[in-house]
Amino acid sequence: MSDILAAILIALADDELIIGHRHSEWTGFAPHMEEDVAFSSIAQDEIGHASAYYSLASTMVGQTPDQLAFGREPGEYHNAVLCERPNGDWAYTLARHWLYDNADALRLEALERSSRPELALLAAKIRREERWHSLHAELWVKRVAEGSVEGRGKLLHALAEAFAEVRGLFEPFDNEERAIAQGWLTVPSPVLGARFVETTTAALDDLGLPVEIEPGAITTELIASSSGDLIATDEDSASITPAGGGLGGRYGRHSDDFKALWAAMTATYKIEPEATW
Amino acid sequence: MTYEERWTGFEAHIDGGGMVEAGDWMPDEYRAGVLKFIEMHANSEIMGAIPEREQIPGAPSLKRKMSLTAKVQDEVGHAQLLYRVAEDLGKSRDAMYWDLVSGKSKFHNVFHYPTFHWGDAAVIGWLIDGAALVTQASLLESSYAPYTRVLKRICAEEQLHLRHGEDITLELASGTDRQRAMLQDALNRWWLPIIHFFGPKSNVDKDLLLRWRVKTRTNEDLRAEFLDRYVPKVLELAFELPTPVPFKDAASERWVVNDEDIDWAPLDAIKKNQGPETERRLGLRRRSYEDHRWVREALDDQTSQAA
Repeated sequence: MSDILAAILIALADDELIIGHRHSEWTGFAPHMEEDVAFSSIAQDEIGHASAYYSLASTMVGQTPDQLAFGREPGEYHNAVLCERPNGDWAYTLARHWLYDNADALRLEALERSSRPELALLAAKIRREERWHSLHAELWVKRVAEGSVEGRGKLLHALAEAFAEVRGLFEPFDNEERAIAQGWLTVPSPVLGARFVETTTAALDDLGLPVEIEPGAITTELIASSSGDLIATDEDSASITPAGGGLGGRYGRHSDDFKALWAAMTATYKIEPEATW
Repeated sequence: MTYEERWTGFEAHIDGGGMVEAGDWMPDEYRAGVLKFIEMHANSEIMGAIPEREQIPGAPSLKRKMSLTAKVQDEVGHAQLLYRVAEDLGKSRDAMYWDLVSGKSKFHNVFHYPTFHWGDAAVIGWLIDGAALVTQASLLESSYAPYTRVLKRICAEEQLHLRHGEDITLELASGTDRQRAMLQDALNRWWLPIIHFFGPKSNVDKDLLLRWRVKTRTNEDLRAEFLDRYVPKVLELAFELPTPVPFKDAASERWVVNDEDIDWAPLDAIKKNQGPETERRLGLRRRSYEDHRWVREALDDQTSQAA
């Protein structure tokens, strides 16, 4: 049973590691010096959260956090596709940052009630830091929404692009229903996804940023697979983006963007996996 | 008072160990000299972020990934502080940034070179930061007071960076053959640029910055301190140093290099902004600066609304 929990912890960690990796690609290169400093802090926090989740999993699977972070094959990473997309311009980075941190806040709120005390405690700790990230994202989205026509246009476009893949964050984990039966997870991912759509569309409406969301973009119907697991249907994914509507990441199916990221991220580690660095 | 009398008074003040504040009267030459010096320092912090950030994506552990990100973050923070000090001397940050990315102003030679692997992270974090710290510590005694105040904070953070660099270096040095080979490869490439870092021999009679104690020590003096401090450490770890090969001077018992062994041609090219990575890195910054004009405008709008 503990391998089911470990797999979920690793998927959570993968989201944080991969988004943190992308965020850190802005370090030293953000469009504004003050923002460079702020965004680097967020990147470090995300990588730190990944490290904490991997640490919880590491005793269950008998691998070190670094082995988990750097020693797996691409298909063994279970992060959502949205996290692995290149930063693009600041508008896309900002849109994804806002969506991701809103999603993460809902997820953490649910994890805080986990029946596994170590996970509940960690979620509470991470949530305190994430609150600051959400404020940061909020401030920027507001600032751009109320700013120039150009910036607003870029943000709208970027929000639509990121939104199209956001449901990958709410794709059910492997064996999710068993984790829910144990109380390790407290809310099914698709239910969180529906809450997410509700809150984010309302927030964007308030900001006067009407993002068109494809029907069913998040609240995909769930069907029971032969093993009894709930899986999201992705019949309509082709109509959202060619890459599959951001789905598949939780099952190790990634875009070419991930393969490039993975190659760069593991390059040094793989020179001497047994060595200390 | 005539300009000349003021000038004489200013020099007497400096000679007596006096400090200068942004609002004080100062000769135009002092203002221009200090501005150019601090602007170059600020430029070097922001350009110095680039070679180091190149190694963040491939950092080999979670701990290193976080600490290298934190380190580059500090360098950007230093640039921010230094540009602010420079701004008070009469040039806007935007103008300084534009002069940098358009190739009009300069940044330190070591940041014109490429990085290839994690061995570069070690040498930059240890020896280049070590060299920078020797220079910056000497500037704590500078006559321009606002500069010394930010340098205090910068030097404190650089001490931590140095430990971070030493830590990466020791890990590679005590590691496998391949890890040691990475470090040796990086040392081979960085050694001459590090020697250049301190600059050619100072012209004490002509250097106004030395005369006015903006700089407190000559280039050769700082280089000598660096060599004497770091060469034994490199050799102790059983690595080799290429030309100019350092040796222990029999008379002074200090580690030195022969001046005639130093090839200055690469530094001369870099002074004209023609280093191996100069155009590519400036181009990256220039394009990013142009593409993100709307972001700065969004921030400026916010600032003006708040005002």
